[in-house]
Amino acid sequence: MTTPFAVRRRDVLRLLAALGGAGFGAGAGVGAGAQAEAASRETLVAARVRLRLVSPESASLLGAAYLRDRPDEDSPAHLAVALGLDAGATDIAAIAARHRDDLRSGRVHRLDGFGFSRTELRLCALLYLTDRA
Amino acid sequence: MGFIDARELPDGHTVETDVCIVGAGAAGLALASALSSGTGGARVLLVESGGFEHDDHTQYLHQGQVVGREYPLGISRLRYFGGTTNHWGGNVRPLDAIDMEPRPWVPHSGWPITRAELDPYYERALAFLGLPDDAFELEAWTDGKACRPWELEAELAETEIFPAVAPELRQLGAVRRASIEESANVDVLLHANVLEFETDDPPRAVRAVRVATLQDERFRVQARLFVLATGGIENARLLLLSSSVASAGLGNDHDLVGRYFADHLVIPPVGDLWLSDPELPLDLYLERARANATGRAMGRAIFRLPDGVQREQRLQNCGVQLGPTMPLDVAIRRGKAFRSLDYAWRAVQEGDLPDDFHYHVANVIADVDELVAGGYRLASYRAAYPTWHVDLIAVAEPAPNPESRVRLGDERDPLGQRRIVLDWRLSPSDQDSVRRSTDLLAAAFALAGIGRVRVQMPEGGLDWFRPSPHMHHLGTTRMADDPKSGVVDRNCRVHGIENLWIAGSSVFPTYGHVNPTFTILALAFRLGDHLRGVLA
Ligand SMILES: Cc1cc2nc3c(=O)[nH]c(=O)nc-3n(C[C@H](O)[C@H](O)[C@H](O)COP(=O)(O)OP(=O)(O)OC[C@H]3O[C@@H](n4cnc5c(N)ncnc54)[C@H](O)[C@@H]3O)c2cc1C
Repeated sequence: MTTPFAVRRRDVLRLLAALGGAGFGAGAGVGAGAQAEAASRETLVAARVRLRLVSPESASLLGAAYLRDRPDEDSPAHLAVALGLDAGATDIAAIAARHRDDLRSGRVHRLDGFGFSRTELRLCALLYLTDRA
Repeated sequence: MGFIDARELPDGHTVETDVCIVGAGAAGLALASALSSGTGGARVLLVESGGFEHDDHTQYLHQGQVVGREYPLGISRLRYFGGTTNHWGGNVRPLDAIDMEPRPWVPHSGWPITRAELDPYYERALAFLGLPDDAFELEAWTDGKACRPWELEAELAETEIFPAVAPELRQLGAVRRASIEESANVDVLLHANVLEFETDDPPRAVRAVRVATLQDERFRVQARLFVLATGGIENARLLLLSSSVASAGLGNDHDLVGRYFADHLVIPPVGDLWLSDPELPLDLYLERARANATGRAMGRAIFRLPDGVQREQRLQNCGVQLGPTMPLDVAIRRGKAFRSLDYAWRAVQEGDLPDDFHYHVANVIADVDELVAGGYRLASYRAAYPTWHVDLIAVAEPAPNPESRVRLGDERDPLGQRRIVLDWRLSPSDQDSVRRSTDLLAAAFALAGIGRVRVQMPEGGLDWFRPSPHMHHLGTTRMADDPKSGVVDRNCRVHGIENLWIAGSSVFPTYGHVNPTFTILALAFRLGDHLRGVLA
């Protein structure tokens, strides 16, 4: 899949920095305050991811680009299921495992030539939607 | 013994020898070296078209017509003593084991011999080129600091070393000249163009080769055994031209001579890698020099997908190297001063002073201003752009394609010989395989936290796919046990002809992604052992 949206390299690099280079590292520490704020699993996860991001705006931008390619996924509920959040996977380590598994098995979506795991783009999309809400 | 100028031989003369090797390039020279002892005194004659220097008139004999995909016929082979090694890059690596196996997803793939059978001959090829025994061992090139491989998951991607012969040892003609002069049984006939193999009728054995100089003196060379070693295109041409008795050409009963012409595909770049850490060490992946017993070796590391991934994903082999990180960096690295400094520094680190230490010091002093100014520019560039990217350049294996071929055209060269027509073609799987390999490598980089790849190859058919040729001429007299599938047998003997063998990359039935000359040399040494048996 390709998109007319031109991903800015800066955004990719910022996302990379946010994801600790190796993608989602295990054992993401989340402040209790963020947990208290979280009203649902989706927003909880979005909040946790946001805490780890150097530039949440960049991730949000990628999320928006992904949703332009995949309008069928344009709902927090859908993304939550796709990310396994409905099955209780709210800790970042489980999502990180999913992200790695995507990369291994070629479940990759291309934005302007860059290949991202579906999981990371869905997270970005979730971020975008929760930002917008 | 030594060198004979064919222009001084009387017209109509017949030269007699035991083994006649046609062509004194990489293959011919390695074979002659293998036969320079242990043959019970058998005489070996290399019959070479050129002299010691490049000459336009001789080189002109190589011209041909290109139809279809563009191909640089002119510069991709050289016609004088030493052959194309007079300007090759000297990059060497053995084929991977998988390259020689039949792969059900690659039509017409597989060698009748295994990689293990070539291993001892690869060792001899290393020594022949003056490379150290550990030339392919990654550890030998790393220092555990700036020069170390990236930590990739071993089952997803591999780093392997691609050494290169030291520049002063690359021109094999110049390097081997003295040993031929000293040899007791090897002679070289220069300025001698082989026109045709003369055979019995029916054509079961070669009796002689017909030879001409550019001054049109004509003579013959008679021998017990003949070896054709004129390069991947000319090997096919000479068989096709030998049609006085076998009308379709020698060894061409099954219309295979000239077919399956292939070259490695260079795709610069398949993508650019955006590094997640600007401090990631790149040294091992850029060209570097290393002192060794016979002088020095060059080397750089490349990436490749492991055999398991290739099998599972049904891919052709592909090597990926890092391209120039930035023009400035390359300019400095290519400069004499930097290279000398780098070389001398590494030698000192290994506890040695290089023999030519003064030469390197002089290089550094002469260009010290360039070194300092370049270093400053580089440092400030890096400070200004801390996160930068590198190009990924792929060298890919093509699938054997019988429609890709060399045939004889109607034009003639100054000796009256029909020139070739080259119709180089690719297969649809070629671009698909490179594309998917890049995606898999990109995933391996992402998983290791190295960075993200922006793939620069659009999806789609062959129409957009414009790889450059690597100038390796492969496959035109392929090896197979069955005469219906190949021109030569597992010993490189032309099927059906009892005393004619072929040396060179024209015998490769499948090609791998690595440059061919190291395998050409290994096969030549193997052929040497075989011919020694035949002579005995
Ligand atoms: C620019 C360039 C860079 C390269 N870099 C690399 C590299 O880094 N690594 C690598 O592995 N390979 C490289 N190659 C390929 C390498 O040069 C060849 O694989 C190798 O030289 C082939 O050896 P050969 O003996 O089969 O043919 P050649 O070296 O071409 O020798 C053939 C010889 O036969 C002679 N000849 C031809 N026709 C006749 C005739 N009718 N009668 C008598 N003599 C004849 C020619 O004059 C020549 O001397 C490169 C090639 C090019 C063009």
